[in-house]
Amino acid sequence: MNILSKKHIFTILFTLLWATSAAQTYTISGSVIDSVSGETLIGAAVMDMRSGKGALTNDQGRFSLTLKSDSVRLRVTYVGYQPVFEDILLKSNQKRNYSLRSSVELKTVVIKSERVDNARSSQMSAIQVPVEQLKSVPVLFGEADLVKALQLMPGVQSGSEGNSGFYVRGGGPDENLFLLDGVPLYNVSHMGGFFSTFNTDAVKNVTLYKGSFPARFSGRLSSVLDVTTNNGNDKQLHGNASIGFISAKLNLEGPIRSERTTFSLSARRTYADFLLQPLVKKLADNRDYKLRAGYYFYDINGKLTHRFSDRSRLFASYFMGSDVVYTRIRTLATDVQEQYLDFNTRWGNIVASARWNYELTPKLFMNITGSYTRYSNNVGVAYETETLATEETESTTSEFKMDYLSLINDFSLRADFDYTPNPDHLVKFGTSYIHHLFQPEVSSAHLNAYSAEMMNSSYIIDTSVNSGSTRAEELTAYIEDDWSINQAIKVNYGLNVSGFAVDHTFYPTLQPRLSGRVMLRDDFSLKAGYAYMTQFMHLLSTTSVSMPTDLWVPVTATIPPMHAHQVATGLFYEISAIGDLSVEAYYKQMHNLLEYKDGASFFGSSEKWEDKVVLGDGWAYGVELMLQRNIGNLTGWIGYTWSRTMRLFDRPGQELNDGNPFPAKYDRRHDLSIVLSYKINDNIDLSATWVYSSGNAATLSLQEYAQAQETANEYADIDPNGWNGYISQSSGRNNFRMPDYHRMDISANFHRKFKRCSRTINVSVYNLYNRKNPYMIYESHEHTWNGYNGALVQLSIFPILPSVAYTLKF
Amino acid sequence: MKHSHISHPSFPLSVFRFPLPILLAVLFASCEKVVEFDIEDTERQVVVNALPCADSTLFVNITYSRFFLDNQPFAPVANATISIDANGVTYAATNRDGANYIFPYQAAAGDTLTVHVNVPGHDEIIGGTRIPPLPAMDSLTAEIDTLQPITAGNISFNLDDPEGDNYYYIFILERDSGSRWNNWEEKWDTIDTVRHAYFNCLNHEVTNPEVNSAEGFMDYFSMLLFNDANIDGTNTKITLTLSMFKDTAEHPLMRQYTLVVESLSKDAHQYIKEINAASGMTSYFAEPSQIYSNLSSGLGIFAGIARRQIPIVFTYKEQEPAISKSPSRPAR
Repeated sequence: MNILSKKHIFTILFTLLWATSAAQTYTISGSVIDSVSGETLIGAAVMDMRSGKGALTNDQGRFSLTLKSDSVRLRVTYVGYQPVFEDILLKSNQKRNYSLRSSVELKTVVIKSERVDNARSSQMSAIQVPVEQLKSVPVLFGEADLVKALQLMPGVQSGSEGNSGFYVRGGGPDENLFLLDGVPLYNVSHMGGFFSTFNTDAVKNVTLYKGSFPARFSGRLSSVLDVTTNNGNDKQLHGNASIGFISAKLNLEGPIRSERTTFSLSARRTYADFLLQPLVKKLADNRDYKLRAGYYFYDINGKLTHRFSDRSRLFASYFMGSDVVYTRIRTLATDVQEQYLDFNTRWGNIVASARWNYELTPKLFMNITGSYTRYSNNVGVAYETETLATEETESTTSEFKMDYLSLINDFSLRADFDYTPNPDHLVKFGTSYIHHLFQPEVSSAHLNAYSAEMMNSSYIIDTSVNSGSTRAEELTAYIEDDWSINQAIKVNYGLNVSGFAVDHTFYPTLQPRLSGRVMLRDDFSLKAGYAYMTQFMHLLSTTSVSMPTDLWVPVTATIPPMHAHQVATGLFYEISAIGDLSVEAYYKQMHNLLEYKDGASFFGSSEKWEDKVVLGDGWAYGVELMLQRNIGNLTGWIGYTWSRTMRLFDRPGQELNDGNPFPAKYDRRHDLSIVLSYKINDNIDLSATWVYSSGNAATLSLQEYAQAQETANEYADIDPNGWNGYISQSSGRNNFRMPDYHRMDISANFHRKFKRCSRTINVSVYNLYNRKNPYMIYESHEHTWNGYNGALVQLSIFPILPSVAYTLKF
Repeated sequence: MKHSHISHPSFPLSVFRFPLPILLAVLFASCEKVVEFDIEDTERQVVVNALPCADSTLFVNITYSRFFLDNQPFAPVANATISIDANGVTYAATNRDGANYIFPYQAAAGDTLTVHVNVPGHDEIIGGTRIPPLPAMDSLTAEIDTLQPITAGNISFNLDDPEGDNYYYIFILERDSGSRWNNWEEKWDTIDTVRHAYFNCLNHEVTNPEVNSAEGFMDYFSMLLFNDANIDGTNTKITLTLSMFKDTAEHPLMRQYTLVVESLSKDAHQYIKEINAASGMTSYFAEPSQIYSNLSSGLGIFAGIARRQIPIVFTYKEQEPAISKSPSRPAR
């Protein structure tokens, strides 16, 4: 972007801002909350029915509506809630707080699932899914999972079977920004990716942006998942406890000081490690050999909210989630010698944040957020030998320990402002600073060896490699305006300015954003958007499975930031009284993408990560179709995506696939998901999903040839027939397609209300017709008695899996 | 090509006697099966392999590649017409035993070679290389350090790197001969095997970053493969340390060591580097390595090397080791 165009952008922005603040008006401001829990409602609509002007509540449930007329009729609505009406004689600025009653409570309307403002919003490529609906989608082991439910949306692809990672419009799994109460999370997976870290009991609101990103978001190329957690009930103590197939959960919320201070606390832990102990013991528990092994994950969400006044609120949030694998093998080597082998792995996030929300003026809200994020993974191996004392010798101990540690610590400070000069404009602006501390690869070893040769003494070696840490500073400023030009045309335009300083190198970026809609009819609109995104961090992953060995690394002096241009357009139609239909098409170009070199992986390598990767480019395009039914006892959606995603690594010395384009690992031509929920009565509801997708791409080496033999190895045992020393050759990266994937899941919820509580029994079946979907396909080479057998082997996981969960609400 | 479909459920039904364990185990159980796919059986390609070595007679091995599901050895190409242009002189090869062709020519350091291979039904395969100079090395010593807790054998020498781009490959062959107790048959076996010995090398200027990464852990290697970026034009002392374990006095194992130091052409360096990376690949999830080839219209490698092999014999007495006093000699 040249200097002239930068000047133009700034001139336009400030002219518009000045123009919008000129009129003499009065402002109604306040918040919209749930009448029972006191939770703020995000995205509630406050509209003057006389002028047709309106506003939506922001992330803090606040609104500001500036109107000219002196007599207004306000209507406050929120999906799933009974609307509220109020007549106001507007002669001065007004404060209004509205409490809406849930339709479920009133038994009037079935909860409606909704995409963001559908046809009328200037925002496109965004999905907002009610948490209650997410919970009803049948999933693996009956464990409600926010990310898995989002994978059923068009444009969002799951990785391999059961994986909670997702791939949005041709982007990689590291190109998604996960925000938990506005604070980025690095790792959102548990159990190798089979579950996400978001405990749905703690979640209030979820919005996924796939493109046309507003300027306030930056840092990732492909998507933003904005998750807001519950503030906590400000009237009385409530909670729920549930026990499922693999985990138990507890959620408590309530007032500490009525209508002033509230808390919300959610915790979840798997217990497979306890239940599997008898099996583990059965495998190995005797005098000579003992095995103790297990795996579990847990997460804790906590939030404190304090209301100083109607204008001022303080939020303190804490999240901790971790996965732990432990193994200890004790072997009795001799009567006097025992050997211990320990393998322990732990990885996870900690996020702590404090946010102060203050209404500076009726038109201007402020949010100040300070946060700390830590992501770490630690792999430790220890080998210990204990020799008991004998008549001739004293007892001795030798030990060897090795640790691999990867750490990211982020400290950030952020200020966000919402300015509503009049109903035609909503201006958001702000700035943030993040201090990153990366320690991507720290390997340390400790040897404490006993030596008889050294006069029965010990010697100790401590060493560490790649222990250097990298510090980086990230600065961002943004401004955006959501401008209703007239009844038909609305645009959202903005600019994000970011910079990243690392290794004495500074990467500045200007990221313009633009999206808009034209109402073609009252229920039919055309939208288009453009977004330029930059990403200063990469996730190095050799697998399709989320592993603790995945490595988050920053850009460096030699590894530049990734960046992407995305354009999208679409038609949006509200089908009256039923739901809506949308068709979107997108094209995305990505640059400076990172891939491991052929054959390189995290495992068994002494190279620095920068020496194991190559840089390249990519592009993706596709069409997404969404048909959604929101009203009635039968709700759900059908989502279909046709897409193509390619990679090109042809820079000198960094070629992959001989410098020719190749399909990305998750390039899929077709993705179809059908999600249906049917409410039989107040006590029973049923859900079913069916998903179908084209097979994943994989690289298979289908040809083999003899390896050149060196005569210096003349004594080596080399088979002249070439069984040893052969080279596998593929015809290209991702040259093979796995079989298509399809699966059906069903679930039923049985509700019952008691005097002081209610219970829900969830029965679900994952993979109802026991389809053996490919998780991985690899070439197998086996020596047999008459030579050699090659075969293609498919690994499938998760056959038909029934599960039951019990939830008690009080 | 269609292949048989055989299913192998991995879970034994007998454990259904224990409902809880089986229920939980199913959660984590995997199911593997040999699958049937319609995969195009790719056309066989001609594979030409030769690492012409200074002061050695030139052999070229020619075979066909095979489809990975074939249960067959690599088929030799016995009807190839093959010639070498060496410094402007053309030599024709004779077929020795099906796949191997021998030339009436012994390569010398500095020779420029081009190979032409014609196999009926295939495009002509052409490749070229230059034989690098023999590695210049001196001041070789080998001593056993008995002061270390684990007896260590240190082999040191100076590598004199000439100006320009040079590539090296260093390893130690270990010959185990003697007798070893066979627990199964309860008798002493006579053994005579040769393998790559593992050694330490603390010369980080040559071990980083191109050393065989799969085996390069804590400076512990089975080979060193490096370019001269960090030692260009210098005389560098390289020390390789072997861990040596004492054997029982009754049946001592006699181990003989051969130090091999090679200069490589750039092509040979790239080829060996990628072969090592592929063989060291331990992750199922990593993308397969594509091995370098400098041949047009075919697979394989034609790349020059120059080798020194120096026999070193350690004795297991706490005194200076016996070292072959003969000067460094080229490979046979």
